[in-house]
Amino acid sequence: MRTQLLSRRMAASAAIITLLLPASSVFSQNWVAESVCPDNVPAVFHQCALEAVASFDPPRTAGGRPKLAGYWRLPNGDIGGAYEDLEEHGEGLDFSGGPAVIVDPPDGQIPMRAWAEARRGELPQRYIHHNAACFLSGVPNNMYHGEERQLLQTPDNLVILTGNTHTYRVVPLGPRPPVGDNIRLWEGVSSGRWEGDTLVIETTNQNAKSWLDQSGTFYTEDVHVTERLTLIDLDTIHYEATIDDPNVFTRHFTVVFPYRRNAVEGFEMPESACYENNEGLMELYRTVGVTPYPGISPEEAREAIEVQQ
Amino acid sequence: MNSRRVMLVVSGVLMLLAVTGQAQDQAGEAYTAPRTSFGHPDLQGIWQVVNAAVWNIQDHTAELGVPAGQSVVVGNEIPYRPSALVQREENYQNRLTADTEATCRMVGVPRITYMPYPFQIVQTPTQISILYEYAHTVRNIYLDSDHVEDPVERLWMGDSRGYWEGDTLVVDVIHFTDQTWLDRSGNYHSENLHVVERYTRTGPDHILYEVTIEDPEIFTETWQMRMPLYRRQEENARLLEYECYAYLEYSREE
Repeated sequence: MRTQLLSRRMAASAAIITLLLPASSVFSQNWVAESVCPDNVPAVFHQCALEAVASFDPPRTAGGRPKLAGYWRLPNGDIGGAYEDLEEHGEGLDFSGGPAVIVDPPDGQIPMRAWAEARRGELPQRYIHHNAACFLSGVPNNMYHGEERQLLQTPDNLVILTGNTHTYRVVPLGPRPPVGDNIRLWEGVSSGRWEGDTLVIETTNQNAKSWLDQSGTFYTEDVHVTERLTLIDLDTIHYEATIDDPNVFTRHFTVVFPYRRNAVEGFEMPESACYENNEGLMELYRTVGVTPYPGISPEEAREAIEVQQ
Repeated sequence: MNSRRVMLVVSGVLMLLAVTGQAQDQAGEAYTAPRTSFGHPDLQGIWQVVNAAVWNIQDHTAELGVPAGQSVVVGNEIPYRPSALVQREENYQNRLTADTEATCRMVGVPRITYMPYPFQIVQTPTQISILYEYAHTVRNIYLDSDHVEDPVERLWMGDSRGYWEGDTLVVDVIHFTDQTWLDRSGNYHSENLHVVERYTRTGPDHILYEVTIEDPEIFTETWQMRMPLYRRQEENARLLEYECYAYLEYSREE
């Protein structure tokens, strides 16, 4: 029990350490907050954005697509909020609290299967959170881990650069040959397409070794994620991700975030050397015997569903 | 014209073609790179080296698990200061543990270029990003901008500033850590490393990659590396992942 408590606290403190790397600490808060939609409550932002987008004609690339390129920030980024728990949660040990970011189902609850709900509670006690071990966040967690993001837009690709963990995603914007089902990646395999002025990204092939939040919301390799990025005014992207994995959830669910344009003069994405500087903490984890989350196979998940029924 | 003279003329022309071809390939002058939509030479795509530099950038004989390789160092010799040569030998002895690649950390510049993994170049009018498959390393090369003056921390991949010199992308890189090596055999540098890279398209599927290394603490003079980068030809070529450090952590549990 003592080990469990210690590990829980270490996991959380490690996550906070990750946040405090120079990558995320070099700014004054200078991002564009002038917007047609307030962003303090995701569900309110979501409704407002859906209405705003109907009358907004975004600036366009030479190819006529909305210009998503630029530096973007998550207001309230990963310090609290969804990074801790996708559901509404209060302040507590390691938690600064925040509203639900789930807009569907409307009750803001993650539709976990009963067996998965039980396991969800155990995971943070037993394993190191992926970011505390400097592992990648997976999709969509990496879209709300850390405040800073840069989108590079070319006719062929949307490249997403992330400040924390210093990583990238390449989203091809046209048809590409498929990737074999046996190839599993932290960031999965993404493909993008335009639906009107919305960029839709479908992601499969994830290795599912990361959680959706600090509270152990896990998924399996069968997960299918659909993200939708829409400019709703000059300086705001409505970001939406729908997560579907019947092994863990009774139905698909959708989270929403506002991305605000980062207007810091001369801003550049910093180098975030996470694993390079994490040896001391990893040594501590080894001493108390906690290890990185290894994931759960779809087969094991399906067996758990049968046992439950 | 008798047949012998024809033969001489033909072989002369062939020789000339061969020589000019070689010169063009090295200088990259004969080939005009296609342009991006904003008019810059287009370096975009997925590239990879085909050589043995990752093991040792100099001439080396094969050993178990290491293929023989010819030097990518121009002239093969690296002008180490005598004291630095002692350290380089010590590095070689400790290479299985002291090399940052052995513990899955970032490997610095230019070494990241000749790791045995593909990388993707993405261009915008003001920034060129290179995305490497090895440990999701990213370099952002800012065009026509100044180096950070006094960085809070030394950088594993350095501070990269680029500009176009004709069709060649020139990248100036400083502010390195002294943690990384230049290969698995222990060739190394200090924090004072100054790298200048030159990327020149020499054909539809080739980039000539040239590097100048300056580090007065370690070397008595500057020296160069040179190698081609090859475009990955597979129709389904794309970057996958090699999250080395994660596999290392998982392996500790076994």
